[in-house]
Amino acid sequence: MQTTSIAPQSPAPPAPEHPIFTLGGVVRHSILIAVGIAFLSPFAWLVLASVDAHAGWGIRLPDLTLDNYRAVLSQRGLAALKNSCYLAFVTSVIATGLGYLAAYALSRRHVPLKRGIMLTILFASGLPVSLLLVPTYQMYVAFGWLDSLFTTSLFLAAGALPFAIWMLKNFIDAVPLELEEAAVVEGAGTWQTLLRVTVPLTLPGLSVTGIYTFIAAWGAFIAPLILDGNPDDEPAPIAIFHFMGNHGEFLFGELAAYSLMFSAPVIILYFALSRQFSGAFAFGGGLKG
Amino acid sequence: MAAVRFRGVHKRFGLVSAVEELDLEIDDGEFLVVVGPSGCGKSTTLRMLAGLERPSNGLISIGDRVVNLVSPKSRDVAVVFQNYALYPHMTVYDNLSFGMRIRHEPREHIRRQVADVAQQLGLSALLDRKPAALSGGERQRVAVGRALLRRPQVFLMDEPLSNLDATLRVHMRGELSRLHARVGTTTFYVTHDQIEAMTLGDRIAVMRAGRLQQVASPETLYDEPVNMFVAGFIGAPRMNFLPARVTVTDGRPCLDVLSIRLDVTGVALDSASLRSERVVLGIRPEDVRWSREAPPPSWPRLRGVVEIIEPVGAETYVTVQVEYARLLARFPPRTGLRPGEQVELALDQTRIHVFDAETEQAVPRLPASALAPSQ
Repeated sequence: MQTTSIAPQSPAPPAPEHPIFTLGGVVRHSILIAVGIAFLSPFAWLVLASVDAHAGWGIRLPDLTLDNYRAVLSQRGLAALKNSCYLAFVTSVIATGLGYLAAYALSRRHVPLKRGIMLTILFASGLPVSLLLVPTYQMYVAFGWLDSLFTTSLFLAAGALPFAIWMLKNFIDAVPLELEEAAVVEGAGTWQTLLRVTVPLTLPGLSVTGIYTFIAAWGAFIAPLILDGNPDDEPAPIAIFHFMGNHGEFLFGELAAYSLMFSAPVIILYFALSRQFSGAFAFGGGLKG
Repeated sequence: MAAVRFRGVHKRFGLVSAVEELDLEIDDGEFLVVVGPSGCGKSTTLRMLAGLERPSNGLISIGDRVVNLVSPKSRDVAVVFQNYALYPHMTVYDNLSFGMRIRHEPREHIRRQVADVAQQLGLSALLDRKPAALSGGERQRVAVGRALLRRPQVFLMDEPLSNLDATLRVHMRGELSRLHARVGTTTFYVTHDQIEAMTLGDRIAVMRAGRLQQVASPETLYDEPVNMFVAGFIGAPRMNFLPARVTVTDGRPCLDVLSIRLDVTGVALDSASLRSERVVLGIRPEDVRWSREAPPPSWPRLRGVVEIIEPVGAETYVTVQVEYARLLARFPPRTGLRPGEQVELALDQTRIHVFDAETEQAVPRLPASALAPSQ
């Protein structure tokens, strides 16, 4: 063939750089596929069982029905979702709000022993919640704070605070100090500077932290179980627990349906989160040429 | 508008002294440029005046008011930052009007003011853009516009031109000059660029390592630097420095430098104040001439070998190796010289500067009255 030809020709298929059909390739891919199936099969079961009238242990083609959904929504399931919403929302607002103020002070102001404080906060963010529950329970008894969704969310917020402070401080650190100085010289007070300059520029960080703390509180199980014994306050994770063999039998279909409904907000928020991350750290044009 | 005064101002950060014993007065309406190498304390001085740093000692006053304890927003100053510090999430209009919106001025008033300043600075077409969509020069103009709209007592500018490319910098320098001529507001301008300082300042304050070296008009600074630092910092290309000795021949003070003897009667050295005979002679490149330019025959001559030739258009700077020293001389354009050629130089001995080799301070000159009878 002449190289000058411009007629369309079928190009030779490029040799694959990592051919699949070698012994190593087959082994590698078999392992990956097996691991993938192991991870995906519970989800497959969840989806299939939720619409199966006679769901059981195994994965099988369902006898299609929506009864499972109807059943969980007509019971306490809906109320439990609402309770979880309340817990997660209040926790997220308190933890993000207080965390922002603390992070701002730690980022911008002279704080004695700042490094020590930050390390303590980092350490605290790794502490397991269950460690604190016994003393907290006694404190709640003394204060008469038991059996309330709001005080339970206060505990969850306190637990989420160290993480929120760390996260937010990084975002605030990234806002150039000169922007705040410019606002101060132009006559803005501390609150005005914060609300008009710093907060708008750290919105990605605020929403990331908000979503993270929301999701953490959404899945909270032990704290509400211990601190709030009021059956009307039961959040969704405890409701799911009750579907499992509480009455001597497993309601597989309803369990699956409810679990799916419970995961939906988390999945949606994770997508929102990934969008926020791509928009973070956009200070373009404010500084330099 | 107001005068500004620093009295005995110190600023320490922990153990580090950033500014020491600063006494400086800026007249009402004056354009004062503070110049010095990085880390000399000039930006700290500006930040103290803006209220962004508090002096460790001493008083700062704006007008009749001591402002040490006055918050930045009540000082009535406007700052143009080196990086412009435009709010990236706001449009140009919102950036310009930020201060007025904070002060809750009437909306219609804000709109008119912004439109007026935008017109002056050629920003009218850009009001809806965000800073990211502006060029460097446009951002710089927005930053200046924001300061203008504040109508402050004092403008504070922290290296506002250093992020612009060379052409734009020269252009904006002219703009700032015209702006100051028009609004006449007291301006405190910080830069590390001595050319910017010379072209913009009514007076220039030279700082080094936290200490004020000299405050004077550009001409005085150039002609009568108080020490070797100022002499070397102001003026480009840099002044030549040569080790020299003071001797007295026939009752007249002379300078032995290289292999020649300069008669320094003309520069009226107060040789009585010399602590040692060892001095440093300073001479600017334009006072070292090529003998072919026919300098006055009374100027002492030196022979040397051409090392480097730097034609800059209207003139040529030539580095000449003379004995053990290198001298930079200003030659006319199109010299036709080549490195390695022999040249003869002539020094204008009335334009020399003499510094104490130990203290690096300029050797004082005799007052004109003391000089007159002897001639």
